[in-house]
Formats: sequence, C-alpha cells, structure tokens
Amino acid sequence: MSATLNGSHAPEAAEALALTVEERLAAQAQSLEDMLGPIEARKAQLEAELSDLSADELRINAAIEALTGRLPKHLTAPTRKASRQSAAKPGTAKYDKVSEETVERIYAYLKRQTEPTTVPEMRMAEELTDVGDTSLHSAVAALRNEGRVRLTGVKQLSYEDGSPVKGKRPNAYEVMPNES
Amino acid sequence: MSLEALTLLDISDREVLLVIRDVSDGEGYAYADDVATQLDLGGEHPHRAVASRLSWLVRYGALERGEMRERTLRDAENEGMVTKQRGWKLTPLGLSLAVGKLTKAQQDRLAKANLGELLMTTRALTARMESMNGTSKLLDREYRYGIKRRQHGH
Repeated sequence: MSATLNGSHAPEAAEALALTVEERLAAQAQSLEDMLGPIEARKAQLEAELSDLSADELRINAAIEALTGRLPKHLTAPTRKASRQSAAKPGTAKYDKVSEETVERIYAYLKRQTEPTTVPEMRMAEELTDVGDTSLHSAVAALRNEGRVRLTGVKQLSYEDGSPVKGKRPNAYEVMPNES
Repeated sequence: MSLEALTLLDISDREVLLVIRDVSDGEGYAYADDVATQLDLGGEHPHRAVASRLSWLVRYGALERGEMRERTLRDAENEGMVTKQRGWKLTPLGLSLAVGKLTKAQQDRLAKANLGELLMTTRALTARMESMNGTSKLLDREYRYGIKRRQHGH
C-alpha cells in the first residue's frame, strides 16, 4: 500500500519498509552464515592435519630418543640464558636488552646487601658504574620474573648529611628468602 | 617508580605476603593503609586496592582477619588520626608460601631436568593441586604471574 499525499498511510508504509529492511538484513546474515560452512569445514580439516602432524612428531622424537639415548636437539632443556630469552616476547621484552652476565652481577650485588636496595643506589655502586640505567631496571625485572628478587616497597633516599632526597621514592628490592 | 595498581601482574602473591610480614606489628597484624604506604601505591583509594587484593588472599587461605581494634594511622594524609580497623595476618600456610625454600639439591635437580622430567614434574604438580582444594589457586596464580610478566615484557 502506498502513502497518500496527506500522509495518512505513512505508518503502514514505514512498517512495510521496516519489514523489508529486516528481510534484507536476514538475507545478508543467511548469506554470511552460508560462508561460514566451508570455513568451519576447512578449519576442522586443518585441525585434524595438525593433530596428525603432532602425533607424527611425537613418534619421531620418541624414535630418535630410543635410537640415540637422547632427545632431539630442539627438545633438549635450554640453557638458563636461552630459556630467559625464548620466554620473553621477541623484540618487546625489556630484558631482551640485558645480558645474562649483567643479570647475575645485579643478583650477586643484591645478595650482598643487608637492606632493600633501589636502582639509584645500584647506579651509585662502584662495581656497577659500567651498567646503564635501562640494564639495571631490566635486570631487576628479569630477577623478579624468576622469583629470585622481590619488591619490598619504596624507599626514602637521603643525602650523606641525612636530609631526604626530594621527589618520588624509588622501589627497593632484595633477594627472596630462599635465595638469601 | 611506585605501583599504580595491585594486580597479579604488578606484584606476585608471594611479594604481597612478604610485604605483609614486613609491615606487621608485634602481634603479626598488618593494615591496608600501611601496605599502601609501603608500596607507595597510586590511585584514588590505594588502601581499598590493597584490601581487595588481601581479601582474595584470605579466601585462598594465605591470610586471616584480626579483630576490630583502635590504631593510629601513619600515612602522610591521615597521620595521627585514630581509627578502628581490622588487621591482616599471615596464616601458617601464608607464611610457608612467603618464606618457602628449595634446597640447593632440589634447585640443581630442577635446573638439570630434561623436558620429559619437567613434564612429569608438571603432571605431579597438577595432580597435587587437584587434591588441595582452594589453596591450589595460589600455585596456579604463581604460575600465571611468571608467565604473564614474561609475556608483557616486564
């Protein structure tokens, strides 16, 4: 039914139009659902193939181990350094930038301290003058991730005369109880 | 650099438990505002964030609540104010988690374990966790803390 000039049939026309829109949306949805079918079938096929490949990989690894008495090279336990680097997201982890040696030096330094120590204090330590700020932070983060060092809270730093250093109080760290 | 939040990604349960031990009074009770001050926690209501985190640790069995008692606040904004609060105390389980140790021999064995041995260790661990009811959540959270911090590049 079409609308008259004075608009007396306008609501019916609008309803008809709305139905049409609904029908068109339903048709589009149906069309999209139809597209899903092949995708789901392909996904199931790939999952099945992946499952088969994983089973083959396990069998081959077991065969290598049985023949050589050791796991294949790519499955042997990684070194501590390799483990740390592979666990971090490549290129994004802060401590990608810090060497294993630096991490161990910071750990050894913290282990010798009798009270929680901040990064600014580490920066002032004679034995760590060659370690940059970023490396210090990264090493501490790495040690926290490994559960070897803990955050104890913030620390108010003071000058030699005992007056407090103004500004934000830095975080302080110490080795975990099982590491001390 | 102080903490802005107190999520598992920011600080592990074990670190929180050790901070509780650090700031606790002679009877072993710590208070949310003292923890917030110790960590210089940011945000509008830092003590509420602390209380929320500690409440979960109560649920997991690592902490217990004390009786309501009067105490004098020590944080900068409210210093000297006397208020009534309930403290938080480490349970024996919480203390064992906070100061738990591996012997040198145990650490060496884990460091030298090959992938198969690590897998079986993980299997044994998950089997133990199944029989531990609520407290296994703390082990699960420690695992997630380690994984998530590495993923986020902390």
